[in-house]
Amino acid sequence: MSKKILIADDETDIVETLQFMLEVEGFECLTAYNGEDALNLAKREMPDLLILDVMMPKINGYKVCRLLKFDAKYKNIPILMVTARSQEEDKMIGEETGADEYITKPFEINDVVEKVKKYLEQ
Amino acid sequence: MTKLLIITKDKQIEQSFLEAFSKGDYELKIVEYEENIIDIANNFIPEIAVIDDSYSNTDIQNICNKLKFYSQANDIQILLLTDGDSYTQDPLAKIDGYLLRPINKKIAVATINAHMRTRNRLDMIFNKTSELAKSLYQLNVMYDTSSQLAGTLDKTKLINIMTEGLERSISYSLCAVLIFNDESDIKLIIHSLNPVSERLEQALKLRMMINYKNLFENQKQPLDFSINNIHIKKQSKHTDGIYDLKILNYDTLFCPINTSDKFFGLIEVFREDKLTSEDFTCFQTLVKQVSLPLESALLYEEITKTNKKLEKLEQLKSEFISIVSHELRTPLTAIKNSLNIMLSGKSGEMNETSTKFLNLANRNVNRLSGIINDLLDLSKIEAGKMEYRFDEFNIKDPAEQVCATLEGLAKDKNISLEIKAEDNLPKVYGDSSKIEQVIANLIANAIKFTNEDGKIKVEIKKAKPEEISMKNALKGGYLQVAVEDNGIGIKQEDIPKVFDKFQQIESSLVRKIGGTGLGLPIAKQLIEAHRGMIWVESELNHGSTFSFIIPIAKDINKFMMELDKQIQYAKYNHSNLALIRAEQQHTDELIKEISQDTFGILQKYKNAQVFTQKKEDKNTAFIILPSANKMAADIIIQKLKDYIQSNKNNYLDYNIFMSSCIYPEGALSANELIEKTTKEHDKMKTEEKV
Repeated sequence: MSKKILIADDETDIVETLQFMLEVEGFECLTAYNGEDALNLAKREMPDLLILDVMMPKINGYKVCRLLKFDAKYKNIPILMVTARSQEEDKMIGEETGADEYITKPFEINDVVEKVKKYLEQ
Repeated sequence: MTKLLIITKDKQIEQSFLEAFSKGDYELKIVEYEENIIDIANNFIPEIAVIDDSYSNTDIQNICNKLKFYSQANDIQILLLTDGDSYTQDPLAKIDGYLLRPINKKIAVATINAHMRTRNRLDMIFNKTSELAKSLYQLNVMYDTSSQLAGTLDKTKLINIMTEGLERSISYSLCAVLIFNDESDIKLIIHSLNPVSERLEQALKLRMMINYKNLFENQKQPLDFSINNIHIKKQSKHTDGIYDLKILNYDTLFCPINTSDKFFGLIEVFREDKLTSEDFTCFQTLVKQVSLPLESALLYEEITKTNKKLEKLEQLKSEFISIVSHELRTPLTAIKNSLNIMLSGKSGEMNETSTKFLNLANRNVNRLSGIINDLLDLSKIEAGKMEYRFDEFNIKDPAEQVCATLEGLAKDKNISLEIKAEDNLPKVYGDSSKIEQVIANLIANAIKFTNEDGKIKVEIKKAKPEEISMKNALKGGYLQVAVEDNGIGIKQEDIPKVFDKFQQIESSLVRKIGGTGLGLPIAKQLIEAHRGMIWVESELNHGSTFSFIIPIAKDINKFMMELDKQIQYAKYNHSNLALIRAEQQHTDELIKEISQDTFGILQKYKNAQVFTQKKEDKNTAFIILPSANKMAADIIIQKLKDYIQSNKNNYLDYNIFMSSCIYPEGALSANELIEKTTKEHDKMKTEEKV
């Protein structure tokens, strides 16, 4: 059975390109465009990995990450955080989120695919 | 005209006097002694009195007392008319001289004249003495005032100091100062002994307005204002009366407050007693004295305003860049992703031309993201928001890391890239990711500006102290990293510009080679944040060597760097910082305990850092307390002392010296902070010895 990846970003274009690339690689993709949907979807669908953007409406990525990582049921799901290094994000840095990896925009899509593969092959 | 009062009942004597002083400029009054002698004296105001000694001694004493002490005849000279042998003793020395009987006219005139001269001289001396005393007092006030004036740049304070000085030196009844800031801010400051009636306020306003107009009659006035724009500020000393329009009839002095090219306002003082020319001189001097500091204050105010504006602009610029770069990143990522998908062939086969142009697009997207990263870095550094995580590390590690990453780029141009490091190099102290960024920048630059088949050498060695031409170099020493290439080099005149923002020597090169021109300025800032230095030596067409130095991980270096970092942090966040110095002689056990915080006191203060230093027989601990004020520092010191006191059996010499200095109240730089705490120590130690 193919592995499930949840991609959450309010930028649909980014979601679409990531989704395309990951589906070509044979992964199943779920998408969310805000933090609240991402959290609900993650809890309902139990994906194998999450790609989370930091700046998202409703609940920001850091918080989504924290809520999942501090819940025994979901804490083993690898989470890749995507950041654009903005000022608002800087203010949040240093908070314990428990994310497995940080990816800075603009990222290389192939790097992201490699990282996803690395986590899911373990 | 010399006025003579003769007191006698002898008609013959009267006759002799009348004859003797009939010529010349004398006015005589000859009376017998009566009780009303004072009234006579007060009406006549004699300069010299002659008393016949045929009166009794008591009478003579009475006359003398009345004339000298109770009449208005100031400095009267009293002569006694006597027969030589019936010489009357004058125990109270009220008699100034003697005239002998029988009266010889010539001698009498000569004696009177002589006394007259003495009297005038005494008069002059007395006047001069009191004048001198007054001048001295006024001089003292002026001196005092001028030293007070020198100490401030606050306009209101300056005006207050001036009016206080005037009050002390010429004791005015009322002083009115009209002071200009701009059209909307014109103040009339009234200092007075008694409160001022509303009528008088209005009158003073009008009077100052007229004074002002008169001052600039037929000339261009510095400020065109109306009486309604004047705001009144009052201050009075007593409350036992009220000043009304009558005060306008008092003696008055008036003067503009100005320098040769600046006009600040007007001042007028009123006094019930007559004002003298000395008062005027004093008044003018004091007002002149205040003009210069007022000008400085004005300039200072302007500078502060401009500075604030500039700071605000700088902040806006940083924010702008930060926001813009963030907003650019997201669309850039989408473009990049799309290009990569197409280039990977996963969206369908590409023909050769398409691939070529997609590659071109991809290359430029990468370049754009590099520029955005640089801009963001620079704006962070300039806004003081760059975070540094200092730690000990091996400088070879990031250098090798960078070489491994950039080897491919060098190989493309067939450039050889080698690292040479001295053996047994000590560790350095700093943020390894930032140092890696600097080395990457330098090597990438070298590759860019070196032709095919060139050579790049990275050399790491101990920096020779004598070659470090930096002010405030750290005492613990440095390692030096040099990136040498045999590339195109830099023209001599361009060398000073290479670390400036947006400088790339020839703009055509930018297009050919790429880059933002921000790499080197960023490297410079990052290295300077490490208390290091970066420089370049280069020869056109022969190559360049970029070198930088970074502190060795020794206690003294680490302490200075952390202190510097915390000061920078405090500066940008407008917060405080306390530096505590604890010193103990001979036994280092206690210092060790402080540095390891055995007491657990420092633990409660987040981010407190302790550094120890050993020097001869002294052991010192420096405690850095970020965001702590004087009170926090005092509490820590007290707690440490309490702890030591309660455990004093454990220590032979529990008397430990502790002092603190606070940024920015106490000192503004790391060196100053250390200096101040040291001074405080020396003071404590001398007191201890005494």
